Amino acid sequence: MTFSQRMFAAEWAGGWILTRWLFVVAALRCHGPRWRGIPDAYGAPDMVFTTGVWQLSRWFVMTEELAWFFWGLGLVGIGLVAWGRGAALHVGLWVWFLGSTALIGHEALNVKAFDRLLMWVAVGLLFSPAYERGLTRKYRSPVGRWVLMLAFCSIYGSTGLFKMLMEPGWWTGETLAYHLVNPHHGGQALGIWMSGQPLIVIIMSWWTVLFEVSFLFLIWFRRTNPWILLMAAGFQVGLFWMMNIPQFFYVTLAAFPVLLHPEVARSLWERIRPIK
Amino acid sequence: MWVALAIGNLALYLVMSFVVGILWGHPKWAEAGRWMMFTYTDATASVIEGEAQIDGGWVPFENEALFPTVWGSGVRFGRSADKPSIMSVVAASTCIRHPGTPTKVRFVRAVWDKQLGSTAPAGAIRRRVVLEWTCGDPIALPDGRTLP
Repeated sequence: MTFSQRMFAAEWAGGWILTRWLFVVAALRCHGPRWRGIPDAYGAPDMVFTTGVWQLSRWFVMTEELAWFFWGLGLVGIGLVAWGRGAALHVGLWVWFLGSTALIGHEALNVKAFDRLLMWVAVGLLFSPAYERGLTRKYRSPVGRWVLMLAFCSIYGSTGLFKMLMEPGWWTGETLAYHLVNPHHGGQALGIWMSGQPLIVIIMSWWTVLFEVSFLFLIWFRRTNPWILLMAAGFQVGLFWMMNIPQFFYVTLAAFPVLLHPEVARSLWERIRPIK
Repeated sequence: MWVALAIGNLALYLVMSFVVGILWGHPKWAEAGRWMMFTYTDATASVIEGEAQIDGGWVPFENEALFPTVWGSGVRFGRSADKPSIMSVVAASTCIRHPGTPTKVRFVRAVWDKQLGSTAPAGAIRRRVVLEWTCGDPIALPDGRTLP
């Protein structure tokens, strides 16, 4: 068997069922609450901006009515991803992408990392067999999983390497401690307390950098894959409790069932529901 | 083969986004593959405060009262307060949204040293004006319209 044949050999596809539903939860968590900002931000006639690659405001005037339309479009897309059969899943992903990107791209100043990561999860779903039924009994192309593996290696790997190479404060714990007491993205009770415990904060800081960098390598091997994902889950739960970025938890969680090595996932599934 | 090529190109793009980011900064084309979160130490915290000139005196106002949508990073323009192009639009919008019909508005960055184990400021709060704006001055929006 050649390298290419091994790389693209069909693999157990059951994980996509859970990823599809967790994507729906994450997309609802990110897109749903945007209705509150429509009159003031997304559809405001006065506060119109462009920044970086987000230049949508140059091309059309977003009215409040149009912003409500795009918000509704995003919800329709999420609904199709949840309940659509066959090709409706792909249509749903594109409709969600259009509705969601029109709003965040036009708003321009607050396109967050979890917004971008959710788009990567959607790209993975586009190339996945998630539109099929009975996936727990099927083996399918791994391309969608490859996309997610690369995206998550990029996010954890690059953010970890940037910390390791560019900021010595991560080795002393100082950087993390100060982020935990940031009035905006920090400020959670547990995080504030931890920031004042030097030993705990140094351990957490080292653990964060080592986890992020080692994810880049350990996710690829069957033996280490479940352990690094377990670390990732712990990392995300820690972020959820200690920092004020809950959406990130939901978005990363959506990809975990597929990031788990398919054979490990299959054996877990068979333990839960043995094949008769 | 085409799928393998596409996956290879995606991997190459993500690697290049990181390498270019670490060596030469962050070009626009690398945006989708650039992930830099909480990288640097920031021992200070800050908020943006607003003041409106009404009847000759400066009266503070709550940004959240005029611009209620907030993100995890604070008010909508919280991360862009040092960019005059952004804050000019915020100021012109403030002139429109403020119920007291101000003649001028200004935004002040209040900075303090963080204190570990607490969210209370360590030491005095330092303030500096980031932008002062005369209401009625025109400002062009990206979509071609002009405020006010």
